[in-house]
Amino acid sequence: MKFKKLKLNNFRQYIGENNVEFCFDAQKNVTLIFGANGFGKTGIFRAIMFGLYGDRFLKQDKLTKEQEREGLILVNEKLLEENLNQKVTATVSIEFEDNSKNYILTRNIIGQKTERQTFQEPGDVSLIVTENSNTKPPINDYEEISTIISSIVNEKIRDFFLFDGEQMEELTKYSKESRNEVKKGIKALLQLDTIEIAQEALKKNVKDLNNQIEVNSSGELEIISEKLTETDDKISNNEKELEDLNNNIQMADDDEKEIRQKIDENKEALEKQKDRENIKKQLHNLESEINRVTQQLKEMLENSGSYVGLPVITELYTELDSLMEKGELPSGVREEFIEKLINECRCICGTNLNENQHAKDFLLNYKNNKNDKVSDSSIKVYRLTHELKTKIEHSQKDVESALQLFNKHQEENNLLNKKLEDLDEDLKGIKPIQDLTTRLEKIKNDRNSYRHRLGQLDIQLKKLKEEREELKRKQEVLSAKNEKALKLIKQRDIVEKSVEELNKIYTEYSDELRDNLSKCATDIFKKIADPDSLKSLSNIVISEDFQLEVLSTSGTKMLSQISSGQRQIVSLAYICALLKVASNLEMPLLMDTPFGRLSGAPRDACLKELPEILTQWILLATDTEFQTDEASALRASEKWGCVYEISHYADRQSKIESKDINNWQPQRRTR
Amino acid sequence: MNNNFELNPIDKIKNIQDDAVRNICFTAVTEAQKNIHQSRSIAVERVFKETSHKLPSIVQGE
Repeated sequence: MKFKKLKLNNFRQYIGENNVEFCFDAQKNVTLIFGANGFGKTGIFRAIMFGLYGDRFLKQDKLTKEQEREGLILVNEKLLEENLNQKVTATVSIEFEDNSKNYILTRNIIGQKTERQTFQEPGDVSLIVTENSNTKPPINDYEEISTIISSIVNEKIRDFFLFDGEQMEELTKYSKESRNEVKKGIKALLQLDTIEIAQEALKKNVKDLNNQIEVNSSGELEIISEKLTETDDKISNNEKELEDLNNNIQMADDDEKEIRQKIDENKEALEKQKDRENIKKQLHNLESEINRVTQQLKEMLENSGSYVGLPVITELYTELDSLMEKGELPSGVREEFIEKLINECRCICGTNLNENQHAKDFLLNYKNNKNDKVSDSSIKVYRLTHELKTKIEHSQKDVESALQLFNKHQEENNLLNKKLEDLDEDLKGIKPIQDLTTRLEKIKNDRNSYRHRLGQLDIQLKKLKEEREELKRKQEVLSAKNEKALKLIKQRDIVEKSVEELNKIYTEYSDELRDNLSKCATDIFKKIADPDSLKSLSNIVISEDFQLEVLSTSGTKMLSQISSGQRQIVSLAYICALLKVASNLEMPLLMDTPFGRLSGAPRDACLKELPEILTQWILLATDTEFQTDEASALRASEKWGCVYEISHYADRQSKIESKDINNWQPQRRTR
Repeated sequence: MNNNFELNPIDKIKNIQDDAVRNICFTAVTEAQKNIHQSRSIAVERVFKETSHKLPSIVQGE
């Protein structure tokens, strides 16, 4: 495919008709469309994608939910505003050639703005094909046009050739979901799918021939033929399961790689995740401890009523203690002692009581009136208040200790919760690592079970193939007299051999293609990469499932570790290699913002080398990425044929102007 | 386009020694190439029909 012309009418910023004629011959194959940001450079990219595929938004667009559903407004918004409640049509017409045929594809979109909303609906579409000066009647059927365009640029791989340069590195970052689609697209580019289709059809032929043999047989031959069909079915089922298992193993390997990479990237997060788990454990233990202390406090506080009496008890005790100190308690002389004095008739001062009746009477009177019970009770009260005071004081101390412990735990609990909150904040948006490690374990287990099943199937398949050979031998012997069956058997054997041959060719062809792709991508990479990258990176290799890898000089896989700029260069080298290796493919490379993220050396190298490598190169560049140095480098390639400048002349209105390539110089727009 | 690699599955088929096998493979792959823009199942069906049709003469002419 080579783009020849693009015509826009009322599309995006372009009011009225605007045209671009692309350079597409071998001598001049580079077209530059130059414009400052916001002037409508990407509008041209949109126009091409809308014209070819009817796309209402681009891959790089960040859309609202409504835009995802309805697409972007492609009809010029100023015209929609000026023609409120009226329909306005925008048109894109692309002329291109492919395989000696000329195509003019015209697509309309109709917009209408009301006071509340803007609506858009697809308008007419037409495709005019001219072959050997013979123009066919226009095709207006959406589906038919879509099939024809897909046959020219497979939708699965169109992003490889028509893309936003700033997203270039994403082209080789296939998601798990898109991987198979991309693989299919590349296989289509390299014609591997034609062999696959041929193989599938020939297997169907074998099955059909086996059925015919069965129909044309009788007796033992019929039984053997039936068994052969059954065995063939089993083999085919086993092979299908084997293929699925191998795919699953491949997917498990890819998943493992992806998860390991994520885990590596998130080592810090892993540490934080571990901290988080520890904190959660500590919090759990602390919570039990707090519950225990709370329970203890509850029990202690059930007897806390006595605490109210402690001041009274303390006062009483202090008073009694003071009396004890003074010797006033126990009070006076003990009754036994007075009795002893009376019995011995002698006072402690030596007076003979028998001689001093007054003293004796005093003692007797003292003895009779003395109340020791009061004194005993006081002592008892003293002892009890002491006991009670000590007990309450101990109990209070215990409560205080428990409270202190409770507070300590609470503080610790608050601290841990704060830490947990901080960690949760840090880990927000990061897929739980724990989940990743669990997934990794699951992947390993699944893969082991796939491998186990694979082993079983290999044995079964070997046995089934042996059985089939034996049945075929018997079938041949038994069909000696059945001419029709013999003929069919011969045909089947030839078709089976053809399938085997195609299997060999597929493997050989695929290996050669990958080898060529690897060599070609490496060559291009060496031409366009900056010297520093070349010091560390040596080869681009293409894996069995057509995925890209970059090897260091020591052979280490580096794709996941290289910078985004390097990844862009690797991606570009791979795309150019695909274009070179796919012998049936002639595609333009359309790059929006081609050099935005490339540094000087690879940028110069691309401008020098790519015009030679590519069939057609269309650059939609801004004034910051394409300046006089870039213009000089591109001129030096001698392949640069035309330049267009987008100018902005009124609100939401731009125009595309063709410039004289010999005199044109890029001007950086200033305020 | 500077195409250094002119690889095509048909070139590989040309090297098959057995005439009948080569003819079958050639028929199947060229028919697949013709129908490559159809859906996979339609393409397979068309290749199947074409090879079924040509098979008797290819085998007889062996």
